[in-house]
Amino acid sequence: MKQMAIISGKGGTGKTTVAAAFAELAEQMIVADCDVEAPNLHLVLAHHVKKEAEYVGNQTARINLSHCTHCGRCEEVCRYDAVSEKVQAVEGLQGETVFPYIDSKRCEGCAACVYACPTQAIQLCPEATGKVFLSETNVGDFAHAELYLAADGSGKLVAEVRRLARDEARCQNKAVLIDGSPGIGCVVISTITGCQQVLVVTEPSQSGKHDLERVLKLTAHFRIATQVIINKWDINIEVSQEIEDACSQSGVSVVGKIPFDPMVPKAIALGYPITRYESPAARAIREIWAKISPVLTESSGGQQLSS
Amino acid sequence: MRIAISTGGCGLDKFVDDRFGRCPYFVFCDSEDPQSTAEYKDNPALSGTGGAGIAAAEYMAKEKVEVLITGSLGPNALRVINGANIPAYTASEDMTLSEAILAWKEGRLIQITEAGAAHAGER
Amino acid sequence: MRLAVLSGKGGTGKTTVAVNLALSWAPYRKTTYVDYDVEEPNGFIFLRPQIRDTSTVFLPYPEINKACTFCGKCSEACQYHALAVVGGKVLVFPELCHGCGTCGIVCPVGAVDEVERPLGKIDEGERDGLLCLQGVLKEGESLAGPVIRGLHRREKEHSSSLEEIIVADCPPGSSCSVIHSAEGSDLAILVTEPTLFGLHDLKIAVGLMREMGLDFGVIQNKDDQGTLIQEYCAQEGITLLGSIPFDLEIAKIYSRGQSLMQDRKWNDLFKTLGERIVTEVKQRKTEGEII
Repeated sequence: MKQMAIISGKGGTGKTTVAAAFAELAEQMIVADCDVEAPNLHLVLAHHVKKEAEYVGNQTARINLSHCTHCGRCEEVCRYDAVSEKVQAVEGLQGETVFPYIDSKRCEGCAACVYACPTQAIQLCPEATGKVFLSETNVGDFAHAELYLAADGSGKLVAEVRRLARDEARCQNKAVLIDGSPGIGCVVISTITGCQQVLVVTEPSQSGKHDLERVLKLTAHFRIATQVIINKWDINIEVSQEIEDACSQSGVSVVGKIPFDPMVPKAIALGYPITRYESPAARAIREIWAKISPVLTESSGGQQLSS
Repeated sequence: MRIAISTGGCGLDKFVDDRFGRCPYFVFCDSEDPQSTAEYKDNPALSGTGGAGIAAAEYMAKEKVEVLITGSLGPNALRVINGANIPAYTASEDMTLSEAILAWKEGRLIQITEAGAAHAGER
Repeated sequence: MRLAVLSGKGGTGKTTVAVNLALSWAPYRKTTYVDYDVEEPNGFIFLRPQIRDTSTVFLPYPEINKACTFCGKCSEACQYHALAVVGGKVLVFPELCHGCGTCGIVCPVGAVDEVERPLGKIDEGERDGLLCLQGVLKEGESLAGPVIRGLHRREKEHSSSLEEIIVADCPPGSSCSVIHSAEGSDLAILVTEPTLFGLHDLKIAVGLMREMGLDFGVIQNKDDQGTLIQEYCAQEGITLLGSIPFDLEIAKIYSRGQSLMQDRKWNDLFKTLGERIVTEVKQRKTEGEII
């Protein structure tokens, strides 16, 4: 089963525009939106939700204050500044007293306080991270998610979306197309590991170029085949050339260039992939798809398997 | 020999799961008599928060497994499996558990010496 | 005062807003620009500060000494499976370790020593009196949190009165990285663009601010004279702090990695916007005190 992820390093370069277009051109693939913190693909892929489940991927520490002796060990061992003193009302005690308080937004669920507490007053409690959905579209099934407000663990939610997509892809013998998020940290790492191919969508600006260089180091670190698309390449032809030169120097191929095209925001506003329209950007994306789609459809012999 | 195989279902007619750290179940059995010794256990690493391959490999050591059959092992899982001196063999997903055991006995399975794709970041 | 610039969606113009506002204030008040987007920091491309200090951010991980009895307690307690005890050895996986120290707490014989590995760095520099800080996560590392916390500590060394300004350029998204970069701010500036994607992600950012109890306002970038963002803000009672027009000239200046302040027109725009924001914060403070 093949998996391809579209990422960008820098945000707003056009990942979702490209992903939606590919989903439509491929017709039958499992599509996964792994930008769980700011998901947009569902806005341009007409879908209806078939399955929905809550994902509980986190644990945070909670103190049973009636067992707490206020020794201060938890605050001492916590390296995430999640424990502080706070005036709280405690069951069985009159009035309000100062007791340790664990800020769940800061708690990383490492259990240091759980083990350090001499009275076993602290426990790790599961915490809901968000919701995962499996939806039906006319171009194949679509896995996506909604991260709960201020919930921790977006990397784990991404892994869950990918698991859902992968299981569907296995059953249906299809490939997986992933729309990723900006950045190079845990969420992006969770998005690309185990993929056969990464496509990086960049733009011709100094920021785009800088972020591309960092993202290429990331995919090289994980040894994943990587190709680059320059979006809105004609906004700055010189920087586009600089990006092409930098790519050829590091042995990464630029698989295509998409021109600036006012039809792109219009298509988004109408809620359709750009490939529904006859426009310069749509033509460029079709050409790119023709070049890269064989990666996803060729026989699965010698594929890398998940561990 | 005590064998463990990663699997998607409980039954010797069920298929090998090519995922090691993230498979739903493991079957444990004696290679000489799989039918009457097979035990199916939930993969304890599945509930963990990342490092599933490491946790599953450590579980193999705790279960005193002598031979492991799975799809492939990530670099971390392989390091633990090697550390525990458990030989691991690769079987394809279209093999049933009994077919995989038979193939191993007949020496048709290849030993895993190199790591497959890493799955770091699932944390 | 501390101002956080964030967006939800990437590429809406956070850095453009944060950098140019910082430059507009710097000549008049003590201003610090802090780039919290440690995964992809871009502010320094535009500010080109003279770097005067670089420090490494380290993360501790365990090293097992000879006292070890291979009891396996460390591996059992580690939530990240960064340790495995097999075949009379303890295997350590530094790249999975979050540096929490739990293994050292549970070890009954004191066999866990801590060593450190570099995770990223913090740069400090200056440009025309503007103090500039940025955090940079090493490529291949997954934990942005320790770099962000290190940056926060560094920022606090430069204490801020109401008259001094700290501009925190936050990462995109809505994760813990965003929360930790934005918390403690007097006002959050949400930068959006008038597209369905921009609006959708603005709503997520607004929800996050309300959840955190942070005061916030919106700046519309790439304003196309449409009413999408205005209508939403009016409906929700959100202050629209200002607009930056859609302009190919801005896109070109941006693409070259230059600030917009050299151009008279944009200089005026950011000055006005900057004054509006300072007034807004002071006003909200006094109102808050009266209430």
